[in-house]
Amino acid sequence: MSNRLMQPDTDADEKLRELLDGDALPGFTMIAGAGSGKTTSLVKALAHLTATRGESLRRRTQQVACITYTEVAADEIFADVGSSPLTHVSTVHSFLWEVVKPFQRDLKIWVHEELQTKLADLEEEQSSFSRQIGQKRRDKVANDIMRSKAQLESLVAVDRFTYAFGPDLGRGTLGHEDVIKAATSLLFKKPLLAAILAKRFPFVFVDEGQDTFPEVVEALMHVKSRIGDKFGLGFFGDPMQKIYLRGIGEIPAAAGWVSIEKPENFRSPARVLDVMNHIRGQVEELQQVSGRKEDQISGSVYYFVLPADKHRTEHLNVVRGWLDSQSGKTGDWTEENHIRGAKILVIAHRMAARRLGFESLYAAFHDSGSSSLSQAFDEGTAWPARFMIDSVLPLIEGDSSSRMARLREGSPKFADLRARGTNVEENLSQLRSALDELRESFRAGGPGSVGAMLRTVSTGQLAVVDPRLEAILGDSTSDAVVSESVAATLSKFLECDVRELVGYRTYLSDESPYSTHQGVKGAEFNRVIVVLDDEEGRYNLFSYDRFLGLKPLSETDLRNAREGKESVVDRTRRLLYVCISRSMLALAVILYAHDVRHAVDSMKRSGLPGIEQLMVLNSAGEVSLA
Amino acid sequence: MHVRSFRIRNFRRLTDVVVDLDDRTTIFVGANNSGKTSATHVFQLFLGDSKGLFTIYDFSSVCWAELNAAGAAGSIDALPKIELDLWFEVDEENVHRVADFLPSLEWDGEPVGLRLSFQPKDAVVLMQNYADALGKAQKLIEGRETSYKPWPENLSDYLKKRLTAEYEIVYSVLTAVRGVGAQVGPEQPPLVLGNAASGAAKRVDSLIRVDFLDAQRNLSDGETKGRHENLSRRLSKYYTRNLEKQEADLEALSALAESENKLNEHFDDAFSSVLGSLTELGYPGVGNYELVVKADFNASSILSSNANVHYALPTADAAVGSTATLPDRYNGLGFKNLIYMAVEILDFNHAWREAEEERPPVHLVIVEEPESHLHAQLQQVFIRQISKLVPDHDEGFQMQMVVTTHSSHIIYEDSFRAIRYFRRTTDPDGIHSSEVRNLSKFYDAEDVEVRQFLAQYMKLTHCDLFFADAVVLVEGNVERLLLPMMIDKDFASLRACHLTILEVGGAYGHKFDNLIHFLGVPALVVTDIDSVLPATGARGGTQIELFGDEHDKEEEGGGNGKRCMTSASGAITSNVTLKNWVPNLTRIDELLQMGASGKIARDREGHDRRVRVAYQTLVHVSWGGEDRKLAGRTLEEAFALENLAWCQDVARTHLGLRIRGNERLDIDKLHERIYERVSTLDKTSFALGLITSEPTDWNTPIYIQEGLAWLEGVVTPPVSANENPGAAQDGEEP
Repeated sequence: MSNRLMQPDTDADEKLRELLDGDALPGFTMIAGAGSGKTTSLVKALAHLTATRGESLRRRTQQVACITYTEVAADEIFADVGSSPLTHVSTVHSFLWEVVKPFQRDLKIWVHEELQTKLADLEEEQSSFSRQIGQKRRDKVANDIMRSKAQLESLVAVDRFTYAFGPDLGRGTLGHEDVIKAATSLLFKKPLLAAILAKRFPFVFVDEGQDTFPEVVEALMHVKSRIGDKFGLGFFGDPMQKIYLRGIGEIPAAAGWVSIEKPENFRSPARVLDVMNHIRGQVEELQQVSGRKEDQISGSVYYFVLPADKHRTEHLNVVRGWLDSQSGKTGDWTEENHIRGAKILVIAHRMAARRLGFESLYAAFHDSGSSSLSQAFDEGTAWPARFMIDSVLPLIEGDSSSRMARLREGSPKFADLRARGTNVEENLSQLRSALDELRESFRAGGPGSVGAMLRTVSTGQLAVVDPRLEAILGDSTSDAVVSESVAATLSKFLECDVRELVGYRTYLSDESPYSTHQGVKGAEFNRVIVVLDDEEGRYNLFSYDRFLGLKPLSETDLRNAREGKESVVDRTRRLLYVCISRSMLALAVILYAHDVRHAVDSMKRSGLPGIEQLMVLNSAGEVSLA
Repeated sequence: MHVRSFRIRNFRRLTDVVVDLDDRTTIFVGANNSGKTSATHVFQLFLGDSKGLFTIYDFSSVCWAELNAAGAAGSIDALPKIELDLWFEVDEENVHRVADFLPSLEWDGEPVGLRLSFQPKDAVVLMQNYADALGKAQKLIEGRETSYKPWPENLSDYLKKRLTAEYEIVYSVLTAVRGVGAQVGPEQPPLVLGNAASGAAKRVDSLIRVDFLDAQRNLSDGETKGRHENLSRRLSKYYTRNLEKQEADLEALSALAESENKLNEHFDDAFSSVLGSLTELGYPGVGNYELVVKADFNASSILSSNANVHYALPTADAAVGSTATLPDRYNGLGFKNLIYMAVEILDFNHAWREAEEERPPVHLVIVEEPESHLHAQLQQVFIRQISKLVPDHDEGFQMQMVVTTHSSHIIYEDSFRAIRYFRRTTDPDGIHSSEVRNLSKFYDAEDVEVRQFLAQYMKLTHCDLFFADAVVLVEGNVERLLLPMMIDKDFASLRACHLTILEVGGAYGHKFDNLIHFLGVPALVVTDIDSVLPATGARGGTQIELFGDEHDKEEEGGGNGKRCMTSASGAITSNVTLKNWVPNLTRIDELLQMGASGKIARDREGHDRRVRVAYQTLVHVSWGGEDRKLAGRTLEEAFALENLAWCQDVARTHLGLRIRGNERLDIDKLHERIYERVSTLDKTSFALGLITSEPTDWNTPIYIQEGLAWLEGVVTPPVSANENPGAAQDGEEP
């Protein structure tokens, strides 16, 4: 990846450079399909700016900002531009926090308004309860009102807000959502903030523009329209690759907006590219052309329809074996290591959870409770799980110095050691015994061990535990407002076996052959198996059956289509495009269907390039042509 | 962007002062020990090299009592802090740099305020530690009779040793009151940013860089930094630090190589006889190396070790150019000082401009007493040229200079606007402190004509008004010459004060009113009653004559009537000061009736402005057995009347006041003759004649005595022991 700067320029790169060299700083969108080297163009543009405008930027203490979707991507891009101090590469949350952080008084006003709105809503609800409302709900609302009031009260004493995980507005901690809400609202309301943002960052580039929250895009557009030629704003992305529900998709063009298309594809073999263009062509004009030139290979594309019965995994293994025999090398499709073998992309995680042994953890987050937490779980960002993985497990793993570093960073007890008048020896020994207890819970494992460990962390003050978790753990002093659904998920989470978290972590870190469709954005693999199975996903956001015509469109789908709204089919199409475009050598698409024959018919009608070679399992359980 | 003003609290004698800064150059003036140096040192301690290195002696004396009271009471609320509030004027270009310091997003171009406060890290802990230390001390002397008092005696004594451990600098953001400017509103408490450990110090440092050119004199040691450091070494430092590095400079390198060759040839030549004689002693012999003396030029050290700065002497033929040169050390201290300061300021500027990351937008350069060893003209050149020395600043960056000085030549080179006047004050409790007056406020409020007059007057006379404890405005040369004698004679305590005697005609005295009042210096105006007969003819144009040949303008038809004796009926005064200022009377008889209190200037509310006029009064005169109450019209006449017998003695003929045949004249006739005589008197020779006589022989005219007595009562002589009594007279500071 570090040689992104060495890649040859494309027409789009040259066009962009011309745009950036103008005296009037541009507003632009670069539309770059999968495998086009979108990030390469972004890195080149960053490097170009630091080279041509470096002196002026340095003199004025300005930076070129680049907003990425993940921390990992931020680190990677920052390394690609030679860690230039003239660039500020971060996630959208960090970026916006950096911008609003100095304005503590304004943040306080915002939080105050936010809490009051919430309180007003609750009181409104309470006053308009109908007779049907049960006592449980009544208690809950009354309780929440009490807690909101307590938060407003404790807010008075807060004079400094921090951005941290585990938000608690009343105590001055803003969470991810709060930072986005506060920053975008202040950017709109306060002209000064827009002016400061543009002065400090005369250029802002946004990677994965299509998956950026609309309010963030609108706020940045607002800055651009206020400041005009002295602020450059660019979005790099592909509406076709929008896979997050809250992403904006297509960037609305403002006046004077320039759109640059980057049609090249440097990743996909010819046959895979055909399939991509077929899917893209259903909705988009942009057709991708291979940029590989003489290095281009034809590659392979396979389609399968398999019965959606209890033996899905077994069927899958049969197909993988068959694919091995086709490629002529054992292991190409069957190795558990996805670099030597194949990457299996599943729509949801239940299949992976089953395979990797974190099924009850998966169930805790999916089978009841908070839907936002289930989605976050699939994306690997569910805060309760992240807390265990990022802050608790490292306390018992690794060498003693890294454990010590963890304590130094996160332990309130450890921080106390530095204060005057503490008994250092006593505190240290308490820390030590808490750590021993934690290790013992982990070793013992079993259901409920997550709860046991969290309790130890909380009582031993090994790390700052989110007040919502504290509340569920039974801390009566916590004034966190926990919604019913979140509470349900948290209780189940505490009942889980901690070892399941280890499996989940393996899965998240991409060490397993499984990944979800959403989790592979920007990645590439030699061989890719895309598993299409509507029953895996428990929510109705995606449906391959409907996309492929196995099932008729619902009333809602039809209405959405009529109103030009995004439909299940649109979302599914984009997801499929993202999945198949990961492949560098070969692609296998597997559809699980209850009615295999019907599915085969539908598939054949889909017109997908190479669909005539559709395979099924014959009565002997062997792979054969449909 | 620039510092618009700052406020200092509890720092040495600056218990609470606000100082406005000019966006380019500001000049701090004031008498010794008036706090100007403290006002610059506070920057060193908050923002400069010695950041945080306060001592207990940096607290104002009132704080000591507060500390000890708080220590005795165990109170944690009343511990004093030293505070420096900085108010910045921020331009649009720099708004992102001050984002951390904006009080809120409602900010709309008001000054941005920062408070740097040297305060207890943790008052509770401090008190505990103090109590511990006290406990230990108690144990030490327990049960023993001893006059020894163990440490700590009280809280300030405790902090003498523990100040830096217990106190730290805390940085906060201040909110300006909209419309009022650089003031903190009570409803918006400072928003704490943090301390050095939390990174706040670094953020503040990224805003302002402060450099000092202090007046340290290190004449003895050439190695230490200071203005008298060897200039060659100084320049070489500048060369190595800032100028193009020699590796890249082919021209310099080839020049060096060439010189090296030449020098080698020379060495060959010079050392060949020595080396030759070695050969005669059997060295090198077979297999031994031959000795060669080689020049080894290290380009980086060349300026310090092998090169000397020489001064080119001008030659008669300018076309030939200068070939005769003098090495550095032959140069006068003054030039050395000038060049040193120039190089140093360039060095500061360079370091600031070249800062790689986070170049602070404001660069404050403080120059202490640049005048040393510079003669008057060079001082003027310095202040005029210094700001032009550095390259024009880039957009958004600004260098501000603060100059502290005792030199009147530096002060008056520019208008009053740049001057900040530091003034010692003593409150009723005897606590000494200082206040600071912004002369630009005076300048802006004053009438254009008056301020031009004053500026011009100051520039031409270089009077040391700004260093004075009191001012005496006199009519002319005679008063100027005689007044010191009169003071010596009868008012010894005034000698201990720094009195400035300004020679300014009665027509102009009142123009100093506002300035003197603004500076808060008491003033005595010694003027003449200038009796004239009311004018009859048409008025002529007003003549501007600053140092008029005495004050006989009225005869030249300035619109006033003809001069007359004070006893003439219906006489009026032509003295503008008396007519229009104090006592604001025209008729001579009224003026002569006026009591002492009517001669003191008062403002509209009737408050004493500490300005008094003194003009001739009726005195008792005897001659030839007759007594009269007479008043002179001028100093000379008054003198002649009040020392009548002495002046009329034949031995005093040289004074020019003796009337021949006076023994035949009666008192009225004599007075008339004296009056006539004075109008043609060579006044300077009169004054010189008087100076050579014995001061005990004559009397100071009563009106001057009264005036000086008033002044003596008003001026509280400076209490500080280090005040130089020699500075009592009009003249330059040593």
